[in-house]
Amino acid sequence: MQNSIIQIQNLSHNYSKSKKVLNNISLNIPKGAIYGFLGPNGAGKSTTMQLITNILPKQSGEICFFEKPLHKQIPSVFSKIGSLVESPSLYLHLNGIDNLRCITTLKNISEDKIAPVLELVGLSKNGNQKVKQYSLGMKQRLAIAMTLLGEPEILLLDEPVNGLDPSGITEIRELLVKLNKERGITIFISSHLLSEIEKMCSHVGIIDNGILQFEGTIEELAEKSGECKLSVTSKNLEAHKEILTNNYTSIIFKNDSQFTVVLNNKDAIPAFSKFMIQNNIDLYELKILDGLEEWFLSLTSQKQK
Amino acid sequence: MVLITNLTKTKIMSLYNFTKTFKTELIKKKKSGIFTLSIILGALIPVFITIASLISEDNFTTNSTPVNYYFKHLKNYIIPYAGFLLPLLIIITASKIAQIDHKNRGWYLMETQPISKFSIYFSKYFLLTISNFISIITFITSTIVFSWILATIKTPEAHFELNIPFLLFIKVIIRLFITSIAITAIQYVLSVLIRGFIWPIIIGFFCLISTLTFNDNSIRLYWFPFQFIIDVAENPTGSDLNNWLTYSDYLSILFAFLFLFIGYNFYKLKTLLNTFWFPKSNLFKTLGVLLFFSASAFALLQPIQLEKHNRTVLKGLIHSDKAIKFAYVLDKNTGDTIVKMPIKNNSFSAIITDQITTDNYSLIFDRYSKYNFFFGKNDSIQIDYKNYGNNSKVSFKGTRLAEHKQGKNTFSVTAIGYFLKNNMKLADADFYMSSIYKNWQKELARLSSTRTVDNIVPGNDFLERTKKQLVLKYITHWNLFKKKREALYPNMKYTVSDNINHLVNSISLNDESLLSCK
Repeated sequence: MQNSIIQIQNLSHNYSKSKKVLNNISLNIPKGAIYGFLGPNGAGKSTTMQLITNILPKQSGEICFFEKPLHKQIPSVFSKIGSLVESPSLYLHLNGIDNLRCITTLKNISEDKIAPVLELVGLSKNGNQKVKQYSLGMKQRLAIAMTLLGEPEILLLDEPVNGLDPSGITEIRELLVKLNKERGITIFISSHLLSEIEKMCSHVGIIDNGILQFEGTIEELAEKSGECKLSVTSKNLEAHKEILTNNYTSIIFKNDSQFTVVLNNKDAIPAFSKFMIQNNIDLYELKILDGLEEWFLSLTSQKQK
Repeated sequence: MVLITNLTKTKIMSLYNFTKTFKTELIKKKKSGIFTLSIILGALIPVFITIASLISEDNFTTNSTPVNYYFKHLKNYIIPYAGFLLPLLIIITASKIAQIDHKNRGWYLMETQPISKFSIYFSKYFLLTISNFISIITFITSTIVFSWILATIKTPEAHFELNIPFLLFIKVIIRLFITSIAITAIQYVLSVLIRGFIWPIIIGFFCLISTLTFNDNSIRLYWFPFQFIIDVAENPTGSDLNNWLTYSDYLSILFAFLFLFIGYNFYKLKTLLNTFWFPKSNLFKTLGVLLFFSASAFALLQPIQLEKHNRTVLKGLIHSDKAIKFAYVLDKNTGDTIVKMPIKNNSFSAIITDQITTDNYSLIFDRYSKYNFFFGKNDSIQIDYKNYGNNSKVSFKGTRLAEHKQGKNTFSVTAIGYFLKNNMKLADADFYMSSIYKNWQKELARLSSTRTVDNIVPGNDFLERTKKQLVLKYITHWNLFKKKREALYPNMKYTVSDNINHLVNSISLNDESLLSCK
């Protein structure tokens, strides 16, 4: 295993005696990773975030940053960490630059750093605008800009794409990937959107009802999810129905031009496409339906609900 | 040596952290109008009263005793300012400053920066104290400036002294500031604890209004932080013993310390149990602070009775435009001269070696003025007498300080006296019986609760005697009622209540000490 920049051991927390919000959570976030912390709403993601940022006092377990216990490094460790908890925490009555000035003052950084981070998040033209006039996407980007001041080694982001439209989500994703690649920043990001985590993360932890269900690389997650469901668009399927059902029992026809089929894994896709061509079945579109999503839902309680 | 260097380093770092956080608070409070409100409320009363004085007709008082022009204006302005506007400012700004972070989830942002929770919590409190200070300074500055403008437009009467009493003003600034910190701490703790904007304001306003209402009914909550600032307003000259601070100023510091301790620990540890119970070290720390607070508050709130002197001494100063030659102390009953004191260089003094009964005596300055004053064996009384034109004024200090202050406030005119004088409601005996008893009880309560600005209460001999005087006062009312009732409604019977019997039986009419009671 790579060196863990954040290590969490047996973290438990409860707000009342009757309900445990976190139950013995252990996480290892490797240096340089984009670690997605996945779980449905109420799974314990924000509580974990608040515990690892010391907003909530720890009840049991151990949290280490840079191989040292967190409580021994509070508050100086935050000069190496940028965090966004219950995003976005912004002073709406101030403009963007003043919000950033709050951080430069607290971190004792030159105000010259404000312009580059505004440019990085694409808000150069909006620095003097009051934050309450910003769109949600702009607020999220400004909040990320605030976390970037002081050139942190770690970014802790709690649901940074919550409430954003698809283009906003893409912008944030691209920004985070860029930061990770260009600056080598380790990013710990919590989300309930598997599709987003899948697209940008190298490592994943899945939590449900306060219990960690899975931790590993995104590839390990894909393997674990097993079967691969395909949506196929063709033509004149009625004529090929027999041969298809004989070879692929899981086929479900939607209409004369579309069907879905479940393969054992992704590696079976080339053989399936060859089969279609060899049997003169026209292939217009072949789309992988999210097996991971299905698996994620089965892991978490969403499906039962 | 290394330990000391490390400690100094830590202190410097903490101070540096605090400065950074305070600077951030200054950025965050931009456009919140906090300092503007401090300035507006500080200047409001001097501006309004000056405008009113310019519009109103002049009310000349001729030949009055000398009074400082600027301090007289301060006395006029300070009651509405310190009694209402300054606490109101504190209530609003405390809520406002906490809301900046409640509304924008700023607490999370601040707590994930390289600064301590101590700096976060106390930089905001510090900002509030700065806001108070700005308001107080504005108030004093506007008092001076607008009084000066008024003096320029309308020439002050001749008895006014026109120098600015800077030392007195500085004392007022310090005391107003100190008494404001306890209210600020309470309101700040509430505002951080309660996320809603309106609830801390409602609670603060309730405390302020209830204190004012209690004061209006002569009930003083000496231990209550909202009372401390009113004490400054009512006694702007401060301690009678020439101390810089009074007991309520010290109490304010204690309350501020207690509330900030509770508030900060609750903020840091988030729950009541964590704050005060777990781990056990927190419990001991809390108990230690509570014990210290209780013991100190108890000691400060204990009323003081001044100790007797080893001799019976009278001495005084005269400020007058007349040549006063003698001051006399006379027995009130017989009119005998107890002591005759020649006035030399505007001062007089006498040591009374004869046995002297503790009682009310008359103090006479030639043919000009006559005052009642209370003293007895082993009292040391300092008398300050002013006589200019037709006006005179006397003040007493020394071992009977509280008695003479008390003397000014006792025996208020009651409604029942007015009803009796005008023969009103004489048919309603129950009304008279109940009113006489209630008024008697009210005056007794006020007598036992009144204390000077230095927490000094009258001696037991004075209290006993004053209680007897009060009984006499209300028995006189009762007897007068009986007489009038008998004359007007001879056939209407009534049963004397137990309360009135209690009043009548609470004094022996053979008591010789009543001879000098009026």
